[in-house]
Amino acid sequence: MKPRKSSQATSDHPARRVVQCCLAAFSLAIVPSIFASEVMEESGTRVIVREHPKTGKPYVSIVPFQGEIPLDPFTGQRKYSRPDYRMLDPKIKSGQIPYEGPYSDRKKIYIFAASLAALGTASGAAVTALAPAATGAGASGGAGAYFAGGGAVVAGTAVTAARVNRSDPEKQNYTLRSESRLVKEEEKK
Amino acid sequence: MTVLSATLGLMGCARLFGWDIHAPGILSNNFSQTVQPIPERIALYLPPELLKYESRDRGSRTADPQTYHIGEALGPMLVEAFQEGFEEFIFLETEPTREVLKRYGIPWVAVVRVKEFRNRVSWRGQAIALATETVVLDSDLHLFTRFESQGSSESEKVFAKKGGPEVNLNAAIESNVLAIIQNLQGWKP
Repeated sequence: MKPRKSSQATSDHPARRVVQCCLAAFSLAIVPSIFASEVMEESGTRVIVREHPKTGKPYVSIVPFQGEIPLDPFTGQRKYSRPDYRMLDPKIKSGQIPYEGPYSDRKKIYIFAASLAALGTASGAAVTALAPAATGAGASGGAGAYFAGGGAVVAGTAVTAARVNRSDPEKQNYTLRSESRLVKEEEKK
Repeated sequence: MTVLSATLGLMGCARLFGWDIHAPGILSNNFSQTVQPIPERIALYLPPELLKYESRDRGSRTADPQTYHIGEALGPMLVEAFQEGFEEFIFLETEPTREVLKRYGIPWVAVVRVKEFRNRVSWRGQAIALATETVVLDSDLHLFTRFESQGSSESEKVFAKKGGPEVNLNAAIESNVLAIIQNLQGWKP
């Protein structure tokens, strides 16, 4: 019994009550700040916290004060894993480095276009123009109809072979450049 | 009439055929290894037209049509880059005004717009370049600095890989964003 009495006495301690009140007040302050917090009617804005559409990392955003919180400008974006630019190296084959991002499926587009043409949605001239290209794409597995792209495949193969024979293995296989320059006002005119 | 229908048909084909290229819109791991956050407060404002920016530059006369959705990737990547580059980052979803900047104690606001997008497709590969202009304003909306940034990515056999054009576009955008952040971190007010 003694320990129980001691416990009751502890929970009724004024200092403990103060701490509990502070925690309750703090938690009440935290909850609204997650959604929409400060409203500044003089500036016609409010502060909200949004999440980055790709990473989920929160950031502070200032939005117009117009009753409803405006739609996130990045709404509808899908999350993808971070790209690995080593896949741009021509020595790296397709699929060798995992990639889970968006990609343009050219074959589907050609099939869709061909089906539209077959249904007569496209004009007769368009059908004539479509047919060989669609056939080429289907036959070559997506590597033939794209004129430059198909060329890139063929030429790329040759280049890969040529690269093997190169004596300079240090040659960069893909190039990324970043640069900035100041703009003077007179240049704008 | 036949010519007109053929022309319209071919125009429709141009939209049906080709590549619809959406970049992943997320920075690579290289970015966070290159950029460290600095203890500055800065706001970012993106004009609405930036998020919708697209290009249909096919890169050569013989290439298939290509649609590059640049703005939808550039927006999230800029936000992420500013999160990585500055300890106190604020995203402005409303046009910056003196009242807003002073109310929230924002000393600097960066406004970014796309200036140019270039695509060069050859038999061997593809080179993409994105040019942007960044204006930095102080809390009185006075022009502090203005600079252009260019980011590019060039590689071979891009179109032969699943996700190749998408990652090449992402790399060019990231190179541009890196140039912007490094330039902003470099100046000392």
